[in-house]
Amino acid sequence: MDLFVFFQLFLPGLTTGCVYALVALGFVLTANVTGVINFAQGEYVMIGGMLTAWLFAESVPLWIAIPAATLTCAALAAAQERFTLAPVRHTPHFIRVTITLGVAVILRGIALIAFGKDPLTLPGFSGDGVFTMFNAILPVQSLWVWGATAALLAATFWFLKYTDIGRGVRACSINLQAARLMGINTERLTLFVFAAAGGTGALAGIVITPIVLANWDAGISYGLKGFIGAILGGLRSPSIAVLGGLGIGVLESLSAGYISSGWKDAIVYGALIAYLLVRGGVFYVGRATLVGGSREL
Amino acid sequence: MSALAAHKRTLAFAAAVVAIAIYPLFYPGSYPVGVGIVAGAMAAATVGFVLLLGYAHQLAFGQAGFLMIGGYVNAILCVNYRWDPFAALLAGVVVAMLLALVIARPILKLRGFVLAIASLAMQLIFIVAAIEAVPITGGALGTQGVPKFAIFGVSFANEIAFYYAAWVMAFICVGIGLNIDRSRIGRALKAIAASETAAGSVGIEIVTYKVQMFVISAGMASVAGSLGAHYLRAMDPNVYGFAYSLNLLTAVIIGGLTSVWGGALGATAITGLRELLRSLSLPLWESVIMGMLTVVVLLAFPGGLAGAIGALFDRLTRRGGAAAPVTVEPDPAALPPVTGMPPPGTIMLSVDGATRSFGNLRAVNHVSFNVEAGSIVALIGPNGAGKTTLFNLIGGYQPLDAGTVKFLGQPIESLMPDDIARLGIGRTFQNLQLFDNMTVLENVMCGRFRLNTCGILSISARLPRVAREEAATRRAARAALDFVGLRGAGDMPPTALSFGHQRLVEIARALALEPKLILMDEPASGLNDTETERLAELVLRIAALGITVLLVEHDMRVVMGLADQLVVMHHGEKIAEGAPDAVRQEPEVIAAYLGQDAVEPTAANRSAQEHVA
Repeated sequence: MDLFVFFQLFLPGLTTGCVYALVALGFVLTANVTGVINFAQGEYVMIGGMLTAWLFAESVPLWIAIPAATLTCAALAAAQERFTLAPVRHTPHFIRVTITLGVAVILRGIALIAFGKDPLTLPGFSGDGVFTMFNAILPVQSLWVWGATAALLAATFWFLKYTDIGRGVRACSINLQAARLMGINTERLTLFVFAAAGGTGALAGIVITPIVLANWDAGISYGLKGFIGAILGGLRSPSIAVLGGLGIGVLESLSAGYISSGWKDAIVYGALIAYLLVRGGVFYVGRATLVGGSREL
Repeated sequence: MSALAAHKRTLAFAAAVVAIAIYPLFYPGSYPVGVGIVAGAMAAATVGFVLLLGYAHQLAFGQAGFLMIGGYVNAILCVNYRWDPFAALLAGVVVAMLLALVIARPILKLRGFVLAIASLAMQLIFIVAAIEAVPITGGALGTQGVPKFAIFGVSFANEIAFYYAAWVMAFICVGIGLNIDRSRIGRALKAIAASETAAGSVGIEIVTYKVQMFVISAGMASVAGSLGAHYLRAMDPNVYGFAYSLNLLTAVIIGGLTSVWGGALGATAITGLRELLRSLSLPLWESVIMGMLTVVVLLAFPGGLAGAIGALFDRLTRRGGAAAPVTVEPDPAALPPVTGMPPPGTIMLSVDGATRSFGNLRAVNHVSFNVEAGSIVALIGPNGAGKTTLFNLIGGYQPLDAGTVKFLGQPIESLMPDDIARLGIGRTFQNLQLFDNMTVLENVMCGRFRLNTCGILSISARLPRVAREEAATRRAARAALDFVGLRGAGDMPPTALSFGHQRLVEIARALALEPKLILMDEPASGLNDTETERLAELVLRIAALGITVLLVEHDMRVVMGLADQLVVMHHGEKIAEGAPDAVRQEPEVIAAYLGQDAVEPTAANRSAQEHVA
């Protein structure tokens, strides 16, 4: 096998994988505190990228545009939780999931109206140059993506391990009911986790935009692929979810290069379905789940 | 009540037919008729989706994938092979249903949003395949030159004729949906949505009904896809993308998830709304408005349009007068004695060496006992003794680590709960597991599942034998309600009844199985003294029918006068077995209930024994 070609596919795959990894992390955290998977998660990635690019085009400097877009997405995600999920905590699970899908549609629509159909672009944060690594030629922006992802992951894991709120999140992911009984303010925690997931997603979208352009309909694809990463970790383990996300990025890039770029999405989705079927369904472990009271995630 | 409901159905159908029939008279232009065709196609696609999503709560979001399959099969057969369009439509239905059948069983094992994502992924794979398989599908450009619709040579070149043809097909789909709705399959879907645990306990084959609905909805979606291809005169991969799946979803939500009509109403409303936005030059707003409608309707009006219209109809037609009061006097003669029972003394249930651990905890450790036909056996022990776990092992709710369970000599330890129920073992739950989305009578009717024989085909066509079987099921369910003393409660929702009465509904549901053996998990828990007494009488009357009873109880006083045989458990082990009077004298039993000190031969012991008695 030609190693040059391999790295030329592998390393850019790792770069998009970073985005999926951050989305997967957001999925795991929100799913654990609310019991609901947030279909709008990928849309925050899209809005983060589009909003920054749009602000930049309106000659707002990057150091203002980036925090502004990140905070906007964090606020949007918090508002989503507060106004569309908190009021219906006790309705059937499928209704809540469907509501998040409705929110995703609204966000897509708003992006289409506000930013238009054409993809937006950003210059690389430190120029549009390239560098070589293992003979593969990569845009310098890749370093920003890797660095930002590493920093965000480190911050998240530090936060989960060493802060009260972080411990609260972990408690919720082990047993939501017990966490509530122990006096953890799950309402506030949920709001916080949604905002954090929205902000992280937005940052991921921002750093990748100089490489892949920002498109109003990209959210669904980010969401689905991030979800695949999350599901590899059983929606429980943030670290496996992150590895899953990176792996999906690499798989996608390798199948585009070695098999066919047209089929790459089908291969990734096919891998997901195959994985789910081999596992017999992550949440359908024999008949134990038939016993009443089991939590349906 | 049921007469009124039947009336409501007929009126709704008539009103819909009239509205659809006269629309072209008011808007005969080719554009508005075209809009009507699009709405009709979408209406057909929504019916199966409502059953799958609204009834069974299965989040299969990728339905547009099957519209695409139907559209392509139809377009390719018509364009490349000169098939008759209607024959091609039927072929599309067959292909879509076969494909759905292959996909359904594995994919429907997934639950909740995992299913949603997997089905979306499936749809996206279809789209990629359609774009990439250029020689077959024409790739991104699509298959062009699809002929106008025709049925075996009779052309529907006139758009108004095609409009009527599309809506006739939509109404056929609605009719099939309504037939399923008011059949046992409709009840099965609602039962699955409410509690898979309880659905299994009455013998409902959960996966089978999910699969059937998935396949039917794929067939109906395929019809819609074919109609769309003939309307657009082309088929390309962009028509049925993610956006169409979302529109379909919005349609059923706005129309009402809990009514077969909801989908058709919603499809019409959505199509009209899109045209309105287009005429106002606001097409970009479509996505935002659809999303808003979805969220707002789900948050505030979960019943959607159909729910609102139904409620209005009920309010206009309701006559004065309160509902008939619930008769609490049970009617022992309501149920006939069960025939075909094995003779008394036969071993009905035999548990041998049953073992089950959770981590390091041996919840049930090598427990063996037999239940003789015609007897009442009580499994007793203090809280945490492992009684309910043992019960779940017998009922198939948890696998055994070791040991066997035999029912009339047949090993059942590897069977699923619904298989076990179909053998004739009924059960009730300690924490009530009623189907809150159905009436009390329908709850009990669900108990008849193992005795019903009409399948999906005869139910879809509403053959005469379906109506006969429904009537018989209804009669038997009423008899079971009379037997437990709930005459008159049939049309209420279970949540309107007191806790004690809800427990009776569960017992009636288990009795509706015509079980040979009934398993009752702490039937007296949560009941007051009077209710407990009545319950004990009911258990005796159930035994008098010839039904064998195995019950779990932690309160010894309840079972003393009731059971023929006691099995006492403590810390997961069987510590005593025998007739109640003998068992309560055993030191180990007293120790288990009152602590080791109570066994010392003192005055305290005697008073303790009296207490236990």
